[in-house]
Amino acid sequence: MGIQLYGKQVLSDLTLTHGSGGNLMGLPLERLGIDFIVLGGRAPGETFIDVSGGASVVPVAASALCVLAPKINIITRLSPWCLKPAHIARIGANLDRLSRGRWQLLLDFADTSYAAVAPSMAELSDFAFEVIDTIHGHWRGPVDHDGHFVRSVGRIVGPRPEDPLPKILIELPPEAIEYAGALSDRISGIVVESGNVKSSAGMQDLLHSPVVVRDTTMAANAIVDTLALPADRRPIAGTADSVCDQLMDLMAKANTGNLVVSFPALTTNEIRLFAESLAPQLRPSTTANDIGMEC
Amino acid sequence: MTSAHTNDEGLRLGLFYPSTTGLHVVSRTVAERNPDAFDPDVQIRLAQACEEVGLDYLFVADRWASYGERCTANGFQDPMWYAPILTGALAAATRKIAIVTTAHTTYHEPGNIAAMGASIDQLSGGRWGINIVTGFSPNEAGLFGMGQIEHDRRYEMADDYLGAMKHLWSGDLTGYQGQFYNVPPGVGSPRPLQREPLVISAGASPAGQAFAAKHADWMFMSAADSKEMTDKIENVNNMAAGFGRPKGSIRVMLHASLIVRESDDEAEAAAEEIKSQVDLEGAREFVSELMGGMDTMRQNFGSLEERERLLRVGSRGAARPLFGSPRTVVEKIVEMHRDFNCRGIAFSLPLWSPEILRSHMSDILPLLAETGIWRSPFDRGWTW
Repeated sequence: MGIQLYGKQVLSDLTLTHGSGGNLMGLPLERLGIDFIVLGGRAPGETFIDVSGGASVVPVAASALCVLAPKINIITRLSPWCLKPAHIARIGANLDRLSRGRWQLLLDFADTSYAAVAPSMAELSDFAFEVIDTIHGHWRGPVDHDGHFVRSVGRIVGPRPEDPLPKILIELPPEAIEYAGALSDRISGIVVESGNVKSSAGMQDLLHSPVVVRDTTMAANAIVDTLALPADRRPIAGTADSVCDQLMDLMAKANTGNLVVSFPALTTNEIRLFAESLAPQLRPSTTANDIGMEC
Repeated sequence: MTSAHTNDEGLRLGLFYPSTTGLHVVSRTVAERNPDAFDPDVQIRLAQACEEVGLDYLFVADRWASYGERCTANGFQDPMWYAPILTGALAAATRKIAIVTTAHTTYHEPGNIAAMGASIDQLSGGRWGINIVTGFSPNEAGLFGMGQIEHDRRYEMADDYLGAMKHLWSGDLTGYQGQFYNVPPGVGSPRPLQREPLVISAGASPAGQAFAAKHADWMFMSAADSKEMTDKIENVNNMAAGFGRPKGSIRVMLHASLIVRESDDEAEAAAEEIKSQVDLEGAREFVSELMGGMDTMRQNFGSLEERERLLRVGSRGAARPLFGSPRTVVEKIVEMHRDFNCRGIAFSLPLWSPEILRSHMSDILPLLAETGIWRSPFDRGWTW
């Protein structure tokens, strides 16, 4: 079970360190026993090109966390629209080495920026194939890829990632989920938004759910009302116990034990409530899963 | 602490950071005498040692592709940490020392480096600077699906790149329309803590000098003698004045290779031993690409007999030799400061470890402080 920080939250986390990396949020999360942290989610409606998407903030935050937090697993959400496969491959190989094999890649193909490059879902799927194959190619050695979307020739300098190669998760737009099965030999899973559980492709999915946890259900719902989010991104809201019950139901429905929660209205107290009340109840169902999040 | 730009006459000392197995010596034998550069703990201990002894900055180079198979076999700049990633980690592990990230303008969008740099600056509390390179290797361009771009055009692009990057850092959301790069209205970037992070460049060609005159705070330079250096820096600063920049905006940085022993003879012997272990075939690959892509290298080494050229460049790149006893090394630094207008030295250590660094600096820095050209940043503050 992990926690996702939106791009804006990652940036705030860096900004608030004021030169003291020891203040990064990943450190208390590690101490609380959270299995993994996903750096760089997009808040609903954001694109990676937007400032708050933080496409290039994420690798820096991850590099800091790699050396400061010795245990927590780190997933970075990177955009194939903003970075070329050679960039992503080298960033990934470096983070994997820096974290001593605790790093995984989440490629976000769900950003609406895709429409300009690959207007149809079939084209988006082809794009994903090319990007993932080129990244894998760079992790293994020289690449000579001259495709419709990606052109990359040569060999990036090492270091190579730890063996076995880091796992790749992807996020697709809901309407492209049907293509995920064809990618199953290349990826370890897909991210499924809690509002789209029915769309799951049946792989080892990582269920993402935004949550708002407050002392009372009324207080939580009042926060959600201010967020004005689309229905499929509406957070689960309530007290810690009620949020826990709803998450358990969702995980059963999605047939996955891998859960990442995000906090669109994050407060320090919320993390504490989550860690003290929710995490102990949810963890037993997640750590044995083979998606590779075990500490 | 936000690193202020002071433009004083004092010297700044930094480590040309060993972000690779072999940074400036093309030799597997020499590389194997050094610690594992890819052990994160080694890197953190080295960065912290640099800060504790009172160096001003860590200078982290970068490269995307190997010079060739033989260079890679020697571990020469392949493998090499990706500079933004390593500097992010080093920024998190230190508190005071400044950190310079080398970035290739040609292979990244301005928004990527703007955001990465601003992030490192925020994370470090305003200790970040950028070394701009345009990338002269055809092996690198292919990785990004590009052909090699002609030299002067790369600098035109870099100029536009800096324009876009500074626009993003300013917080202005009205958009940027340049010759090569556009930023649509509404698109922004995280902002650095420093209003204007430090810019370093090294281009010696007319196009490179014009770029430096417009953008650089520090410039790597080389010259055969004092007069040539004086002329060069005067020329660049005159060009800078044409861009409305104050007199003396650009300061000279030199690259030096440091070997300190008890006596001069011992230091020279150590340098000769390192030279004797250079892999000539690897050095040939390295020199061939440098001579093909860099004016400075052709000017400085073109007239040397080939074997001497391979041994010299293969044992210390284009660095000036700083070999000798502590007193001799300090005398040479004083000469560089006095005769070459040198205000910054990035030194590389052919043989390095956190312990070697501490030992060398404890020998040199007290003597250097006595000369008055350098004050410890613990006394004067960490400033660019």
